Amino acid sequence: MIFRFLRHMHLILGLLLFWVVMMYAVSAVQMAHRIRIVPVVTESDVMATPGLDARPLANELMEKNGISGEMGNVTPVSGGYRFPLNRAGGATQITYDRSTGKTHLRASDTGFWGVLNRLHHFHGLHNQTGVRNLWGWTVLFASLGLFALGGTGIFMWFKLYKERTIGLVLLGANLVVSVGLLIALRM
Amino acid sequence: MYTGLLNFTILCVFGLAGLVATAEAPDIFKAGTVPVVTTLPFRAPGSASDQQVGELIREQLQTAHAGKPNIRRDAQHQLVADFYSVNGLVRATLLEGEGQLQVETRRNSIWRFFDNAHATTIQETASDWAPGAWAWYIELSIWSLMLMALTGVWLGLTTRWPFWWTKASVVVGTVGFAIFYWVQK
Repeated sequence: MIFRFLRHMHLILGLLLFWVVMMYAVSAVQMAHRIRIVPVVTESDVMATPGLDARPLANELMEKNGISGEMGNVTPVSGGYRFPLNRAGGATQITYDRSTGKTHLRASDTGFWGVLNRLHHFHGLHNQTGVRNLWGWTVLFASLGLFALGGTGIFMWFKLYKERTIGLVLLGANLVVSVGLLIALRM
Repeated sequence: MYTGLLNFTILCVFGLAGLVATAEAPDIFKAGTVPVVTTLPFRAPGSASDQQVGELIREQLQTAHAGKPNIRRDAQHQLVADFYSVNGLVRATLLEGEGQLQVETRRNSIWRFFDNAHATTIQETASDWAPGAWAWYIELSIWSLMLMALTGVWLGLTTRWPFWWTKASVVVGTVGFAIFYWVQK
């Protein structure tokens, strides 16, 4: 009964988290092997309402020009300011002239690898946007899911009597090597 | 199953790293712990560049598990060498006029240690054996994780496809991730 329940849970969690785990693994390969992400940059000028602060300007640009993202830090420049709108697949650097409303948009798109890389780093439950927070909850669910997958996997292996010996050797080797390395690293 | 048993610890480390990131555990600068500060006698050769002095400081300090230092000048124009490792930061400031080296050690929490450990890759420049061995273990684990996910899904789908919850899990997992991808893109 318990075995069946845990087996179902293991499978359901595995299927639910498959793409998230693959995203982490593939983007980890990209980072570990320094696969270069070359952004495609496009630049354009648009006219916005003059005299705006950064947040109303961002809202206006999102509504009228179809750009999106989370606002970064606002930096003063001569006659106005600039700030980025960051999203997983790139960023739009916005430079605004407060007196004329002239706005320069520099959009960089990092494509598939860029999206995976940023998703790997997005976390937390107190972001500016609801979508980003929802992703933060997904990260939390995936983290707890990894423990549950590991725990249920260990339980199911232990119930397979024929596999106990080789399993004990593998698990033992894993624990000795990895815990040993962690202790050596922490010293 | 065999790859799972071989990578059980790393699965826990990856899970812990996710929890640490979600909880936004304070880093070495925000943790509120007081750094340990010591001073050592050190004289920089008169004709050495900042990078060369940084290397000499590295040889003198022998900071455990740290790679090459980040060299810069601070607001007082003093040479600062930052040695980052899985355990935090060792910051050496050269007090040239006094012929001394001020060493500030900021050791991170065990939670940040796990976070750093999960991000240690084979590009690690530390010269001692432990970070290198751990980095190769991480490399093996990344590929194992992919293999585990692929074989696990294959096994699940081929043996449990008739169950409604198998189909529901596949749909929810795939559609959910696709939506996230498109919205965040």
